[in-house]
Amino acid sequence: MLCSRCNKKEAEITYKEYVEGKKVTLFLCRECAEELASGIRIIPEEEMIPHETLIKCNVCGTSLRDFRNNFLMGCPTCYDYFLPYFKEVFDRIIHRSYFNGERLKAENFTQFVESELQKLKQTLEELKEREEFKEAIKVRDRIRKLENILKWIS
Amino acid sequence: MDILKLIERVPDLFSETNGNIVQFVIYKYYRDLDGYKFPSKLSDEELKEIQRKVIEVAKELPMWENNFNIVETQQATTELTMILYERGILGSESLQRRNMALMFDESERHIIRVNERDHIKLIFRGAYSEMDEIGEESQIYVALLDRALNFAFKEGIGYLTSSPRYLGHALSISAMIHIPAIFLLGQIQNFSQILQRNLIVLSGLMDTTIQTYGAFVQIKITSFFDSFTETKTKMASTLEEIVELENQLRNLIYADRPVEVEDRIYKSLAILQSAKLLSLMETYEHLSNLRIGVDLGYIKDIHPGFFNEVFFRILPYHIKIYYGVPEDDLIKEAEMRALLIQELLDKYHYEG
Repeated sequence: MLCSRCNKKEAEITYKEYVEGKKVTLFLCRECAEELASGIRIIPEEEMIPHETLIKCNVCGTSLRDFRNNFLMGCPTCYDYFLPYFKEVFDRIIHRSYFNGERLKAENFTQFVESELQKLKQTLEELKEREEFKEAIKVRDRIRKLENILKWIS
Repeated sequence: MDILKLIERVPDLFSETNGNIVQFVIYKYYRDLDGYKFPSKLSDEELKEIQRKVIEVAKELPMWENNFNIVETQQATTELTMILYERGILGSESLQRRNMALMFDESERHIIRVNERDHIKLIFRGAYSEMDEIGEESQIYVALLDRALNFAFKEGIGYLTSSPRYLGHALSISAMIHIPAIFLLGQIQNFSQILQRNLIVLSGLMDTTIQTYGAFVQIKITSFFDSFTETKTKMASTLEEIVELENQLRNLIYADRPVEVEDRIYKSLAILQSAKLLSLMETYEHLSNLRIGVDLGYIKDIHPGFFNEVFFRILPYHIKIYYGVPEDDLIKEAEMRALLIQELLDKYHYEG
């Protein structure tokens, strides 16, 4: 089909715009489309493909295109290469692209385990006094588990 | 591993047996070792090295209490693989993975998958009432593993995993819920709105690709740059909202449509008690109706423990392997399912 504007070249692009509230669809050649789109250069597909495949992680060889295809990184270094391309998307969808939490450290849980142990030991005594042995066994097992965890942390 | 014993085993997940809307919760942590590519980019040798390294450290963790199984999936029989899959110990993704290993304890509350999509997936499952406790404990185990294995982590991004969906704390929390009143009164839109508000999605039940069994649904949230507390708070508040909605609707049904509800419950009970053939989907539908009958007090002579035992045992491979049903004999499978249900109804019958 020939370009509906210049009537000379083959039409490659479907161009839609609203004129006086009505949608007008034109089939245009690349030059006419660029002219109509206020000088924005439309990148041909053959130029776009190498660009995405050329951006590659130097550790595992995953390309930006691979990542776009399955949304999977190949190695931790991939994040340095590909994350910047998706920051905007993350910001738009989930309204954030950063993590303000911390790495989990076993030592940080010492206080939690100790206070849990204290509470459980008190509960165990109460259960024994009330002769609720079934519950007491459960609490005793949990105390053992937490004591074991505490040993590991330290 | 004795596969028949595994089939008969009632996992420790369903410790609450009465009146549950939230059946159980699952925490999953995704972790990768620093200095290694992610599993899809590793050679068989490298995968084996990761497997060896992780198991060596993980088997010492205090959570096992000296009781755990290790299964190398490549060496496992098809029967064992399918049983582990149906019980959510092995994921649907794991079925195609190379050099994958599994560690799990008898309670099926602690599971470690090695070399699935990430080097390590740590899974902690338990009853809804234990949600806080499991959350705290699971973090300690993950931290202990990190100390020995050094996970890939970057300030401002979080734990680096193969899928960016888990960035941040690299955590997902799922919950299995039973919401018959929401289904019965067509309140799915309200339910969906509750989920959408916190970016919570429906997920496959027990890591399978099936999304609902009767009115049993599994929902999931992923950390996606959030911290542990943020992720957990979103899930906990969502569950509270769902429980409130389901309870309101149950009260409404109880008040406005008692005959209709009673009819459903007793029809389902009659079918379960006397059917000769039961397909999986219809079984879950009737079980769901029966469950609401027990929860609302219409049926008083079935112990709620019935639902726990029946949950996995009626799944296709559980039936096929236990009763020796040929692979493609669906009629025999349905017949054995009906028989099993009736046996279990007898076992859990008691004088209310």
